[in-house]
Amino acid sequence: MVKEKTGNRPTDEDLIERFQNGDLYAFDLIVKRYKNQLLNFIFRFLGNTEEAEDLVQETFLRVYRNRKAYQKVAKFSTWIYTIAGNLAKTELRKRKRRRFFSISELGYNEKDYDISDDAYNPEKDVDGRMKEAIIHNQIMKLSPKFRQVILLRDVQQLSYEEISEIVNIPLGTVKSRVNRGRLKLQEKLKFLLER
Amino acid sequence: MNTCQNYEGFISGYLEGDLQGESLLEMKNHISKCQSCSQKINNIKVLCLNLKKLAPVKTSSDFDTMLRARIKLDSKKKRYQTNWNLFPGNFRIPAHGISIALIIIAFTLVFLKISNFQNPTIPDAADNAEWYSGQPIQNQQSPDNLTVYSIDRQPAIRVISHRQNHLLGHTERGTETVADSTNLLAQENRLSDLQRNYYQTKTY
Ligand SMILES: [Zn+2]
Repeated sequence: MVKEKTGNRPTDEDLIERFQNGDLYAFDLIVKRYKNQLLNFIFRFLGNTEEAEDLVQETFLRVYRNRKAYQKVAKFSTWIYTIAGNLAKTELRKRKRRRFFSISELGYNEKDYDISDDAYNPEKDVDGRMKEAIIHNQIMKLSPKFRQVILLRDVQQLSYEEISEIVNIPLGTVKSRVNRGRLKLQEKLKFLLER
Repeated sequence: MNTCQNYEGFISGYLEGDLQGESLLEMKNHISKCQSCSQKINNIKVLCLNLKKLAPVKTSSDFDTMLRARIKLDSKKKRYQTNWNLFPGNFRIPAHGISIALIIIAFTLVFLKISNFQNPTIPDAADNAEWYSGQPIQNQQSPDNLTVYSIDRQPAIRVISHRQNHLLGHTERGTETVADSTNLLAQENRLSDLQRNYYQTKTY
């Protein structure tokens, strides 16, 4: 924690290596570094904060359990995002199955996005928060394959190369998918963006 | 690149500085003349800014405590069932799969029991020295083109013979004698004789 301010910030790869060698404090640092990033990614993907937090915990549990499986050839960030992304997709499939058996299931929609929540930057005016809610809902309406890459690229600000590794699709496909996702969102949010 | 739709595919590349040379010039040329495309590009620029600025959510205050508890619990659990993690990562055998497999195994066991019970005269291969040696006991011909069914219309002989093959460690299946008859009860009565023939005419 202190190290982060001294300019001697250990890389993620340093941390996981230390953790692999038994340093539990390094694991704490990894958690600190990634918990909010991952929460934002999964929350925007699933639309529900509680479920998202549960999956972030599950992600760290898997990192803890499978720490020996990580190899330095891959970037740690892509490894952990891959784990989180797979868990989120599995959750989405489970939901689909649940919805198939339950007519009353609401799935994601406005219900899950509480715009009065403190987490949504209370300084922002009502207009701003409303705008975010609208954007969020349109993201949720994208199909998962577009939603995932849009979130990784435009919300999480990852590189195309990283996304390609996380989603396990070719670089060119990532680029065109991001582009198409943006066009879809633009189409739906025109009224908001042109103001 | 002629219609606006063709240019759409290059918007992100254009905005992110990925377009170069000829393509870049063409794009610029098109935007300068096409109101619709230039509006779209502007919208996407604003959209990306908005997405980047989306208010971040934060984990709850007890996140770390909960995580620690979860890890502790998991480690404890693992100590009790160390050898069961055949499928690491996300892979899990669906519960349904396990149930179905168990049901199939149960049915097979019950079926084998019934078949044995219904056909008590089947020679126990291990005890039948003559059959075991592969030599016919009597010079009887087995009836051709017959299928032998027990009452529940299961090809009892086939299953039992395979089982016995297995017990005896035979790798090859013997010549199978099959019977075809409409009268099931009559078949049942003839079953033991047929089975004797069957085993006797087997060659390995
Ligand atoms: Zn155009």
